[in-house]
Amino acid sequence: MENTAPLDQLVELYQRAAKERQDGLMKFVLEAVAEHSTAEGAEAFAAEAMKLASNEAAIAETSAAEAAEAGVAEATAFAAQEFSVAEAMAGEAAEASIAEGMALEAGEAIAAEAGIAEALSMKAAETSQTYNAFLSKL
Amino acid sequence: MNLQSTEFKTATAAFRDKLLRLTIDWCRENSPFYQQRLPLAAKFDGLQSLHALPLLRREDILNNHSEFLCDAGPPASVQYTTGTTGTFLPLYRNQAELAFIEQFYTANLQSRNIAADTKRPLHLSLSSAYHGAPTPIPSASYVLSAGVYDRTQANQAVNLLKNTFSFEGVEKRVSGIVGGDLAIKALTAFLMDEGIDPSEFAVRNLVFTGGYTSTKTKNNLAKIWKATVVDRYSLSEVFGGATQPTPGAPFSFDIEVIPEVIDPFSLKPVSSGVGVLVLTSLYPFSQMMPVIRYYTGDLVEKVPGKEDGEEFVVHLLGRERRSIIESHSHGTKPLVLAGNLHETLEALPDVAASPRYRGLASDLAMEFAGKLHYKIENETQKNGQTNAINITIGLRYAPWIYPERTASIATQIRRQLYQASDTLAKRVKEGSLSLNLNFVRAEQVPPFTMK
Repeated sequence: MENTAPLDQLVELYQRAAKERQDGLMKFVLEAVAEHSTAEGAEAFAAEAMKLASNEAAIAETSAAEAAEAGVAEATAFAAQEFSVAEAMAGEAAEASIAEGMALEAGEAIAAEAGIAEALSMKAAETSQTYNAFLSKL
Repeated sequence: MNLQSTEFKTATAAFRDKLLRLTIDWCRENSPFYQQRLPLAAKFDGLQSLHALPLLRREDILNNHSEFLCDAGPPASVQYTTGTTGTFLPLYRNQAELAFIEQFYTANLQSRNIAADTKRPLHLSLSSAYHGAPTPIPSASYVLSAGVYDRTQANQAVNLLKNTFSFEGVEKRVSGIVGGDLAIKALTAFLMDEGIDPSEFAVRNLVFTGGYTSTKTKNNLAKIWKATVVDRYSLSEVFGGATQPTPGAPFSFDIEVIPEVIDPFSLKPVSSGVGVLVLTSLYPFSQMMPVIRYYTGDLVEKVPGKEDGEEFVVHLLGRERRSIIESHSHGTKPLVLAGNLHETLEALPDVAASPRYRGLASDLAMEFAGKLHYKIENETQKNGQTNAINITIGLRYAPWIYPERTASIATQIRRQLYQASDTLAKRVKEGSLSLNLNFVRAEQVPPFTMK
């Protein structure tokens, strides 16, 4: 038995799988944003964020600009979160999860060099235009 | 071997199948433990027959540690579980797997078309020494490191967050913080106590690499930082885990790991609903200690893919041993889930919490990273059916001084738990189970661990 696989083919297959996974993750984020938009309104969502962060009391102060800002932030975050997967993978020593985790010392081992999904991040960048377009409709 | 097979509906399934076959062969050839468990004569037909292989439990590894290894030589790095879930478990990685990981992710990065003007993200990693030497993985991000174990470290983290860098091709400000949930909560508590508004930094992402954080707290953190919170599920024993891209969303598994959900009583696969997560790591990402069908002890709700061939995702529900569940004819029914109970109690400021990272900021602030005081036990009949659930909750005050308030929160807790479990509500209503809430002063019940 040959315990190897051609690296180039493995990477190619992995990247196709990564695209599938990326699509799945994006769907969940879009669903979450849509939920916000229907449940509270995008403005209210942004307003809460602003209010809590800056102690500005009134929702009335929420401007369309703030809502837009939040949308952009979300979109950017979505693109960037792919990097995170990487970071986290690097922390394989991490015993994270709800599992081990709920705890305390659980899972923090982060590698100085991080992660896997860097690759995916570039894919995320490609999709961010679509995502931005979606957000602009909220 | 041919990796271009089209017999699978998804590339993910094809990738996993190929590597699973390699994993089985590798383990059969190199691990005395697996040689006994997976005899060479037994036919193995890839992904579709994985469920027929025996489950692997933590005790199996602990009791057969040297036989379990696929490489008898000294490990290149040693990682370990914290030991808080039982006996300390050392986990070895050999040079070959570290080399493969380096090679694979480098090739993966290099083969992608990255726009020339794309800046590498600048991330701050909050370090931890709880699990030994981390596995380095090549990454596009540029990573800075800091700790949050004392005020000096936290102040350095703040300096990194405030600073503008000028590394060529890299973002100028830190845009993401990566760390265990406690570390990120501790840093947040430190900042809030110091009067520093976290949203004034350039951070757009908080990435939890471990620990349990409720959706409510994740949303709170998202607002405080004006950032997206991404959560990662992983465990030391397995290379690969799952990602929750936004609070409340399900967790989606990495390609490098094979997830299954089984019924904790029958140990049979479940198509949807509550079960225990079982994970298989894959060669060549794992070479010294691959785990095949590892019983994680984590309860999840399995959500099947909506489209043909779509991978299933899960919602994490808490540790099996911290939850109270029952076997019914239609599968496992939860009575009280660890995650749900935690979220219910976390929402009540009355419930006492012990701060963590004391000295970093005020004790009250550090409760944000602390543990709630409560415990849960059940009483069972001879047939194994639960007839009483006893939850003891430590309050910040002596409950007898505030009887009305205590009664009020008891009602809230019951309501939440009934809402979360129809089975619990039904059993209590029909009188076959009693749910007893016992309120005491904080020091009369120790902090609860979700592990």
